[in-house]
Amino acid sequence: MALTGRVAAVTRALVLVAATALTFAGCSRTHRAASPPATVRPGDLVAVEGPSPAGRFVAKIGADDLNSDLYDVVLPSQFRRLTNGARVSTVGGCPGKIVVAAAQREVGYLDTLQEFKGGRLVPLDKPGPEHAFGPDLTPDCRLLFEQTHGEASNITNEVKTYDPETGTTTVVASGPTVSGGSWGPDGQVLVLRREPSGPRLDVVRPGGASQELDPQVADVGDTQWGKAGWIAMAVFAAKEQPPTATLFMDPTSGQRSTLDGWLPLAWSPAGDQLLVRDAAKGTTLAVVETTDLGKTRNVGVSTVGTVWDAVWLPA
Amino acid sequence: MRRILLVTLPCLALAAVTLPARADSGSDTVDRYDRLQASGLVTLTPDGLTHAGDVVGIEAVVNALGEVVDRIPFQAKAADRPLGQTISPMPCLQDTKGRDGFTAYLPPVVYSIDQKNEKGSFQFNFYSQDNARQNQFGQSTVQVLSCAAGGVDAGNGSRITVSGPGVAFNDAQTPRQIGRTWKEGKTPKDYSVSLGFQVPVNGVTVTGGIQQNPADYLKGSVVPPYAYGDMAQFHDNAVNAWWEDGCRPHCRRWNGSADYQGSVGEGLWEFPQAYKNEALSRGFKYAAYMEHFCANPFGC
Repeated sequence: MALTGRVAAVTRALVLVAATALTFAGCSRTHRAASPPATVRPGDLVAVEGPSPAGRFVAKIGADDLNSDLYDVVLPSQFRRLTNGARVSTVGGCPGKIVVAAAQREVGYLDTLQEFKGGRLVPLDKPGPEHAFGPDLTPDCRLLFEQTHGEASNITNEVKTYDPETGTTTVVASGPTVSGGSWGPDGQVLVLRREPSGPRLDVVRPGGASQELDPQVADVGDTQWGKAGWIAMAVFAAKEQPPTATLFMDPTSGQRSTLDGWLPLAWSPAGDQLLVRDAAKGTTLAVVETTDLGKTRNVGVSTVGTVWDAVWLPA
Repeated sequence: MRRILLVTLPCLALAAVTLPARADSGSDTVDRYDRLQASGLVTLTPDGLTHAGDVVGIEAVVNALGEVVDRIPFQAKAADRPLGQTISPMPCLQDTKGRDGFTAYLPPVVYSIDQKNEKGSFQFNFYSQDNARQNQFGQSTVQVLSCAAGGVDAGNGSRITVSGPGVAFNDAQTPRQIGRTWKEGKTPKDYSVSLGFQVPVNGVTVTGGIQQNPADYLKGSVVPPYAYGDMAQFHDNAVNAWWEDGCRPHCRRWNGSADYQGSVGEGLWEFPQAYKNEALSRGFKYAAYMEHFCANPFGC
């Protein structure tokens, strides 16, 4: 206990050093925030600071990205396993509903949209147990997902939305370079295209108008658009290498900010905080406030494996 | 007459000593087994073709302790028979419903056991599914499924104690296998196994089936049924399924089977989609396992 207290005190001091350094580093319209200084590497920290973020967290956790399970997380360190051998690929959620793309044996090891209901994964009633990827849900439970068609040399990817109230499925974007999508705060859809010249983001508004954004990095993934307006995404400094940072973009103002050493997991319901995990091990959890996108505050540590994906729901 | 005996008896004695895989004439305990230790490599092409190399190895003659006492070179050609013309009575069938990105590689690899007293064939089918999964970064995977089936029939005093196929992704370093299946337990008359790709909507079910004499046991493992280092090194990426006589490891000469015996197994491997071509060209090792002995004290 005494040892834990000492570690916490030392950690708090180190984090204070980091925060001070960042304060003096200043900020600009486009800035790169070196969040953890050399002496406080992400993944090394085991202590947390401040109150736990409010809300419910459900996460995809495991040693292997392709062989992970669903966990109910109570920060800072309670991880309750919800599935066993489910091979969860991605997780989405809205109040009262968790939807995953999972590839367990029962569905032939292929990503299939399923709902976590009654303590187990069951095929999605509507639009059905589709072979699909990347479910993302709005607060009122409209579903977005991706599907592919065609052979390897001639693949067309589609980003689709499903409205449970009307039962309507709509193709928002399609094409060989379409690589993913996520909901925006006001019904927009953010579409990721991986073009030969680099990644592009299309903001598709409900009326159909589109705006293109250029992240200006080698590759991005796991794009997430918070209610407060910031888009967060994982940055790949080089293709075929693991991601190393989080890039924030505000599509309205054009502001950008980079947080090195951390990857995005989920925006808070209000969009004012982003849950992130360290890029190296993926076991240290922190939050970033939109008021200071260069500063992280440790809020938890996973003892059950890397936290790959998460949803942040109201308490 | 004496002259004839003078010539014949030494010959018979010599044959009794040198003939491999026999039951000891002085007792009923089998003291020699033949074990097939041979494998081939099949590579796949993105346009859906298989290219199978010859099956090369040895028939190891082992004593009752499993020690190798002799090695007989073994080589067989994989037959590029078009689908539907194989002699294998245990096909692997895919129930396609138009899934995008599904490929059945042709022709299936078929290789025959055509020894003096042991006849049989083994069939190895390969399928792939592009964009099987996608992680949180939008990075896709491709899955490759192999359905392997086959068996051996013995005659003229030869009796089978092990028979079945094995297949492994040709990489002893990086585990890629995510699923494997085979039948375990008492051998039914006919049965099938299936694994992977049978997603509820627009699914594809690959089913391997076999018919055989209901006797003794079906087993499977990531390692071969007997010592065989060339296949054992791929244990992280292998599926081996075989029929086994319950007398093993110490059989008597009335044990073993003179009927057709074999097994069927399926394995599933997953790779990053970007690694697909490299994985296909790295290929899969395939093997037939066969252990038999000669129940006739005067040779088979």
